[in-house]
Amino acid sequence: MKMIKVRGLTKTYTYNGKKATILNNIDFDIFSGESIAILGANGAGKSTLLRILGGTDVPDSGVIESDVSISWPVGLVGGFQGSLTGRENVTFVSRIYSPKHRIEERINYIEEFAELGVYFDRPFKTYSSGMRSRLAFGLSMAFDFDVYLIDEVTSAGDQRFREKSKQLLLDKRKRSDFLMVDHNLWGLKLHCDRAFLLDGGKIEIYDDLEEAVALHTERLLSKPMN
Amino acid sequence: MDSQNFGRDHPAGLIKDGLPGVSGWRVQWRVVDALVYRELRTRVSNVKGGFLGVLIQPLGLILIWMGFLAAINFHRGGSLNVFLFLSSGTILFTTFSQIVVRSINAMDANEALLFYRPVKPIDTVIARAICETGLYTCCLLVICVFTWIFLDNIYMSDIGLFFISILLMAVYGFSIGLIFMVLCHIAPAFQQAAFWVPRMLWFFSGVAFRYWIFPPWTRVFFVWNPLMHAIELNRKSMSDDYFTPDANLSYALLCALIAVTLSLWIYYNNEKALLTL
Repeated sequence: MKMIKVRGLTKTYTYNGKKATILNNIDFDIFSGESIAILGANGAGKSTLLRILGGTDVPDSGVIESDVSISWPVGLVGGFQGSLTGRENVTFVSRIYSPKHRIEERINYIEEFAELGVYFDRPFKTYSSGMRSRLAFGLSMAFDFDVYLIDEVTSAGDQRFREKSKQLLLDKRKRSDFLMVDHNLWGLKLHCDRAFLLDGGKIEIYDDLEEAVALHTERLLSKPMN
Repeated sequence: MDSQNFGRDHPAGLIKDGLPGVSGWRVQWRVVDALVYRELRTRVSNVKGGFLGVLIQPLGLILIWMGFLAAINFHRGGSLNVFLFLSSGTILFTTFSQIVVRSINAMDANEALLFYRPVKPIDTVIARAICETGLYTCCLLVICVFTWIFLDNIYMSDIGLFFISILLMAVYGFSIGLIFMVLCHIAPAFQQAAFWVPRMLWFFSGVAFRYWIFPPWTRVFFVWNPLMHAIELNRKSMSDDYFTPDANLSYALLCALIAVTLSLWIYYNNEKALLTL
């Protein structure tokens, strides 16, 4: 069953009067029950594609059809207000995504997962980067979406947290699908079924993830770094 | 299946927002509720004394401003207690100007929140308008109670009109704020000019003086201004004897309707530009 259908998607950015085409008239389908690895060199348009699918950026043209709920980028830290406590920050998001009677339950889940102790009631700006990652990841996982957008999150936090995140993602994977961008190819292989390789504004679709990863690695090694 | 077509001939629709089964109005209600919570908590966390501190801050500024106006005899008499006359003008106009000024920055200040798909730029302006209106209405009520206890009797002759006039100022502030937010995003150079608009409007709103005591030819500078009508109506609601020759509720309501329609039209036609990185 098709859950996301994209046709003729084009996205350009103009900077200092110069126009750069990031995605050039691309088409693809994503089916229910499969997770996709999005591969490409730096600047190939991986994060742009995730933002467009997440509805937080708008393409120049194209059609997107979708009948699923899509998360915000998992592990997003930018949405937190530094002067508010962790509890207040997650209450804000819970008030949007939860019915009133479930807000407390969500907050308790995040508090338990993030393991911040007394810091949960201290201003977010006092957190270390590891604590921020834990809170952001816990917040993303507290809500159920059909599709999770995962951008470079498996490398966040310390070893213990990464292991905990991996287990949680494996558990989520049983009920939801992922669209993943990650330079950690091992994480992609663990969670994804197919791959989209972005190169020069075009998309190449691979049913064999191993083949896509091998090709991607070969291209990265043969091209100069951006 | 939801569809959004980004071709030039079609308006951009919206993909599902991650809240399946929840109506659009309900989603917006939740978003605005959450943004108001965030705004208030942020303010409370930034001042000492909790919510009382948040209330005292604008109240202090208003009292200093009113002290200055009273000292230079800007009021020039009238049946309404001078304290109430100046409070009404100052607080209602400050409600308007604060909504406008904070709306100009609303999107930049909350840009990261747009990653949560249900949050739209307009919601940040609605939330700020609600916070400012609530805060300054509390200030005005505190002053009314203070005046009633210590200075003078208040005959709240029309309590409905009292709150309608405050609501009108909030709607003007929201509408102008929303238009300015869009314009400042499309043309950032407009931002400096935008901050000056409320300052200029102050002189044509009868905030601290009775405009009709000036020569008749000056009246035309005031009667067009719906802010003046709302402020005068607020004063009228506090004292039946208060003389105000031009204040017209129908005109003020019509202006509010036009302002809010125009602002929503401008926003609707530019929402895609606001969301484009």
